[in-house]
Amino acid sequence: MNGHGARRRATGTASAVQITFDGEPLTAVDTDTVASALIAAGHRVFTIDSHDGSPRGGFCFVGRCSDCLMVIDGQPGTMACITPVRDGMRVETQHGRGHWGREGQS
Amino acid sequence: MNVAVIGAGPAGMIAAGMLARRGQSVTLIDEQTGSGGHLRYDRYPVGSDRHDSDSWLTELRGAVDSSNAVVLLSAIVWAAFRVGDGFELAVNHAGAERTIVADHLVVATGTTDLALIVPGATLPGVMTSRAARILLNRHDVLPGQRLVVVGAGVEAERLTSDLASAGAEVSAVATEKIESIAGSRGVESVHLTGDRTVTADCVVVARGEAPDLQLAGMLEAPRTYDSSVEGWRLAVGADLPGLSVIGGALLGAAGPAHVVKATIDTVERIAPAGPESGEIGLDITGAIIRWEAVQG
Amino acid sequence: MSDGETYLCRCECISIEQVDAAIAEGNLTINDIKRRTRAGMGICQGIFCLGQMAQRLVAAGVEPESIEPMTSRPPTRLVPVGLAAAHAPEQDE
Repeated sequence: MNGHGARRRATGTASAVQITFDGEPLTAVDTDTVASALIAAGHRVFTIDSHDGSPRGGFCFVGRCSDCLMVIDGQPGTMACITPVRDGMRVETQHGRGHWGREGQS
Repeated sequence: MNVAVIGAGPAGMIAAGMLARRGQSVTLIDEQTGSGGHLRYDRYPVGSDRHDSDSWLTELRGAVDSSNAVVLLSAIVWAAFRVGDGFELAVNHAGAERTIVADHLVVATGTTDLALIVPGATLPGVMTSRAARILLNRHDVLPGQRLVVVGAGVEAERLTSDLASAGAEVSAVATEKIESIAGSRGVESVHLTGDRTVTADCVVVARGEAPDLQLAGMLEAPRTYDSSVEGWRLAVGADLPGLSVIGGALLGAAGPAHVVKATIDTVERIAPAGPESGEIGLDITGAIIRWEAVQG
Repeated sequence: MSDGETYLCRCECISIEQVDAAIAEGNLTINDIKRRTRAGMGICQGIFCLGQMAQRLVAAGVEPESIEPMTSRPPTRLVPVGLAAAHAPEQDE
């Protein structure tokens, strides 16, 4: 947890979805995107920028910018803000451009 | 006539419903996972509760679903070409490639939020007004506990009030007072003019919007730079054969080339009173469409 | 890290100083500044930075109405390369 203070308000009717973030279990709700689930759980670093190594955490949340690119179920370059959560989904912080293909080249 | 409507916000949905009712073959395309555009995360009217946006969205979806319009969601139009007298759209529809052919194109691509250019503006925790509304109104998630909302105007005020109602500490600051944003892994403080520092974990950039004419631009729609909008708007009197631009994408554009006012009997039902309602002139031979607000 | 940097183009990490320097060198159109600095070539295809780039031109004395928009070429969004190659609309030359 980064402990910066994002939290969920009381909802009640949404059903739980279990995902992992960087290997750790995280409980989301079925209406979440990956980005909203992470913010709700107190995580806001999604990607480490390939140019200057700076942390990025989601700027536009509508699938237009480059600040929420994450490795989702092994696929790098996936926009967390427009990806709905699914049970068992594996979400990882992306470092730079991530590792693509079998050779694992970034 | 085959008509492709790009953008399923309120403007696109109303246009699609109207055109389908007039016997046109309509495809309504949106990149998001559901139709509604900003109605999925906004509250109307000002100060009222979210139910108003929800009920309008329900009505619009009902009108579109009961028509013959084909709706493609999770569909990104990444290229548009003029081919002969019509158009071809390259669409990535949920991972699969499609080509949509259309005689007429309705561009309802809306607006994008203006950015903030100061040191530290790329830190995690700095987000657009739209992003904060998506988190707060769509996902019931507070973007932070101590927020600075940057900007002035109705949208910034509304958002500041909504965030405060949700239990956050919020301060609203004018753009010119922001000197820099600081933090190591995310927003920790905001430095203001006059040597003041505010502790914060989130900065919401609510400076305003510019029309999104990226796709219209690919079709060479003439655009003029407007400093007050900090973006390009559609040029006045632009001649756009086969192309109609409606809704938020018309922001800042003064004066339509041609408008044919035609009230359709369904308009009252699918466009109840609100900031987006009105009579819509739709000349489907290719004029610019003006979105007029009703009086009274 | 990005300490102290004021990025105008957040996708490609291009600073406002780099853009202003390009303008001072005589790059007075959006396309020229884009080619010189890479600003506007990132994933967002300029949607969050080109207006700000134009504002720098205005600050440098360029008439706003004379600032032409970027030449828009496909793709406007991230698409897998293999899929992009599948599109080859027949064009009459």
